[in-house]
Amino acid sequence: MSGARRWPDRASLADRLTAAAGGAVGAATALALLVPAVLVAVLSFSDDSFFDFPPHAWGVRQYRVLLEDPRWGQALWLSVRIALPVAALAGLVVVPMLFAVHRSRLPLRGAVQVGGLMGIVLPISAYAVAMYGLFAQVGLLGSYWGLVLAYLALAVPVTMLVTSAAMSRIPVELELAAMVAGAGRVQAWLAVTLRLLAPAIAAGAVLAFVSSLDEAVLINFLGGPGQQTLPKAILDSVRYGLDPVITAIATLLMLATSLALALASRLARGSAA
Amino acid sequence: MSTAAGGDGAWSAVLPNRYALALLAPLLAVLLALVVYPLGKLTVDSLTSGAGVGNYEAVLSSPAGRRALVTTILASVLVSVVAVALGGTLAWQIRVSSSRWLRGALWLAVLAPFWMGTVVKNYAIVILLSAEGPLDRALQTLGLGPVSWLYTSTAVAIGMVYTMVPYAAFALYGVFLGIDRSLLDAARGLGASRARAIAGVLLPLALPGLVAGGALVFAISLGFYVTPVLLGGAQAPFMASYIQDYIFTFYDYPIASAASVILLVVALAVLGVALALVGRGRLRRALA
Amino acid sequence: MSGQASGPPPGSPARALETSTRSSPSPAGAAEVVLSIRALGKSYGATFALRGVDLEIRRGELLTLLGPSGSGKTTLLKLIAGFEAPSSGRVLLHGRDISRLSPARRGLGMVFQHYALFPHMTVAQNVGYGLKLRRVARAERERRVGEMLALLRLDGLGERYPRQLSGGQQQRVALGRALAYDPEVILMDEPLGALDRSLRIELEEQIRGVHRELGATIVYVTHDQREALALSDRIAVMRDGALAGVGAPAELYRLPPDGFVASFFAAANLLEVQAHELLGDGRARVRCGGCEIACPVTAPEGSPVALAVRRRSLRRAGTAGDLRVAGVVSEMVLLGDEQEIALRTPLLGRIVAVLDERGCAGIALGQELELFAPAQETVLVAAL
Repeated sequence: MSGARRWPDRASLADRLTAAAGGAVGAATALALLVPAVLVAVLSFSDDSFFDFPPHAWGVRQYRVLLEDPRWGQALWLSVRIALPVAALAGLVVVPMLFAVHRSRLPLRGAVQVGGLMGIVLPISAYAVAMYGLFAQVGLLGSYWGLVLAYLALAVPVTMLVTSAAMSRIPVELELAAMVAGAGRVQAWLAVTLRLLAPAIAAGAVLAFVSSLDEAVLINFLGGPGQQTLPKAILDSVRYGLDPVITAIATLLMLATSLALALASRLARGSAA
Repeated sequence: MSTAAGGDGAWSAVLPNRYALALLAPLLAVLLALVVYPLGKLTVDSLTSGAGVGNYEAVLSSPAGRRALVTTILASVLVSVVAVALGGTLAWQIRVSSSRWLRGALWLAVLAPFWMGTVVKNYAIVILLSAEGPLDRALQTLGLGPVSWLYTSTAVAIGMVYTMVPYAAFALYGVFLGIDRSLLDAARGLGASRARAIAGVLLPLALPGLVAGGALVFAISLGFYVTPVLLGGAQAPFMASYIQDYIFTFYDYPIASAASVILLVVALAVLGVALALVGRGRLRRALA
Repeated sequence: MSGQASGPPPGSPARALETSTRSSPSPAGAAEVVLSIRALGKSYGATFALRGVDLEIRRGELLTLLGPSGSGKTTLLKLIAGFEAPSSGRVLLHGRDISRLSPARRGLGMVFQHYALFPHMTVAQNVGYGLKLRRVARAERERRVGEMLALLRLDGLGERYPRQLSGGQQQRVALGRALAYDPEVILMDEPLGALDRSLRIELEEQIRGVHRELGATIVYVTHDQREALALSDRIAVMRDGALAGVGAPAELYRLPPDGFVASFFAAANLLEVQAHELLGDGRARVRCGGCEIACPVTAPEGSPVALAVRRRSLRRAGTAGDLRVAGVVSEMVLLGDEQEIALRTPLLGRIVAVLDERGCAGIALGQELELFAPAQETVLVAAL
């Protein structure tokens, strides 16, 4: 910003200091945020069989070990098997809600929306214990569908945030125009609103998928001994020591997640056309 | 097919309430069964199973429980303040930057904790802070002696700040978008220095958003699990590890449930106060 | 004489009916009534957005609903379109009651203020949407769309998307979409409101042209009195949810049915009248500001009255029998070829006149000025 050059010299030194201070804090924070990621990625190319810093040798040992160990593939597979239905179900639950909230005058519909967002806000440890108590009672501890349901409760707010923003940007006049031209209400929704909402729905599904894949708290409380999702497998491994293979997994995960997030944001922005 | 309104069969562009309710039903089912009921059951259990109300006494009077609670709350407060300060600075830099490249780079940095993922980011901080790790080695070469920050409350706080900066940045970016920049220009035109304009115009206008964002970060911070477990350890007990111990080591679900309810109450109380102070709309906007 | 309140109060259903039956007879012989609005009312809880409106729209005419915001014109249009159901009264299309039907079943066309074009469809797909819904065969649909595009000077733009078009082009596409399936009536909700001035004039011409060529029946909503004058066959002036007056533009302008229409539509000054006497032949003798004149009257017997004097009726030279006003010049605004002058008069308050700029020599702020208006151009109207 050219602020310091626009205004009278009288204040320019103080202004420059302020701007510099702000810039320095911002830059330092940004670097601090990126350093851990860069560190992990760099370390993934160490050739050591035990963890040390700095690495004694460089190479692709970690990736080789990763590919040879079936444990990680199995963990990833379980994570995906849970995340896929969760993403789909979250969409099925949230999309109808969008029409109810944005196209009707149902009382308390705003409150329901806020309620739906609670999953992100409440302390997750407390929520995990609540789910533990419930699952213990109904016998869902250590069950696949139990995990899907619990993850669904957390995925719904994520999907809701993305799609609700997009829905509020679609003017109701578009549906009215379709209806005047002869379309029934549902026909107008399908032909116009849902088509325009599709990118945001896809973005919501991707984000729900990613956040389920990443979930590391509920699995500890609700998962059974044989249920090792990828985050749990990493967590367990890290608790007992720093296995350098983790750097390779972590790097690949970071890559996949950032690609997925980039895709989601492109989709979400695309629906603003 | 036309869906009509009201009893007289007249059509209205507004979706009739009974159809709206039907469309809302799946979400209501999920909320009731997976959020409201479990939390309600938790509260009831905490008051009726085990020692009943005595569970709370046990948590609040035991030295372990008290320490965990105090540490968690204090850390959450600290983390909220720091995250809002750092996240807010970043959000403001992004807001006023005219270079698309710089904005993109800053967003990439802000989102790093998200695209790293929960376990990976804590893992990376473990590496960073470990003895003989990068930070330790760097400080040693500067002659500041060996530092072992791992397995302390400080490490957990660092990890929590790392996770919460993106949340704060998002919330505050939204707030800053809603503030007319020409107001700052007006202040500068009247002779205020940059710092004066920020302190006198921007911060007061952003204050409700800052409070809402801070409350949100606080509530989420209370519940942290992975960070205290990986970065904390025995010397730095947080509520999450306390709770987990009571379920999986001592098999004492009643105590764990009481501790959880305490966390929830604190979180809801802070959110409630923030709501009263700044209004529902702003809280919702800070979330979105 | 004046001041005795009797007859239906302003804004009541009976008053609206009175006014509309007093308005001009149908243009050029009785054309068939296409849309009939009977005692239509709409309330939201305790607030009345529309009260007992009666209106008939004839085939091939362009009728404008003109009024300030809050006058109920948009509500009336929404009820005709079917976006809301009326609280009372009915809407009849060719005698068929459509008051409770969904918009899709009414067979109308609509143009929105912000175009509401489908962003994910091409121009051709937008225009052909209504035809597609009516299962028109592809070849026929394409032919019709081509016709529309040619008529609206959008040739060659069929494969573009709305966001690639200018505001004026988008509005023409919206027009094409509404016209393509030949609806009985086209509704237009302030279609030119989102455009800037030069575009507005251009599109006005386009709408006029389309109206002439296709002979479409159009109900047009606007708050812009100039637009209403330029486009309409008849104008229905609305105020506070009721009709204030209906008639051909020239007539509403020269002989406004009441003070509101006189001031809102004809921008007339409303002068206080000291005494008046109806002469029975559509004229009255009026004493106003110290003058006595004989002028046309539209106020009903017994209602409170005011003298409507249009801004351009006032001139510097006068003859016997004219209305004379005198006062001090308080404001002067140059309007290009005309000068707008405000006078502060002792008896009649503030009077605004618009004079030809060339005849304004010697007029200055603070000076005394006297102006005259031919009695034939003034009208005795019901007071606000």
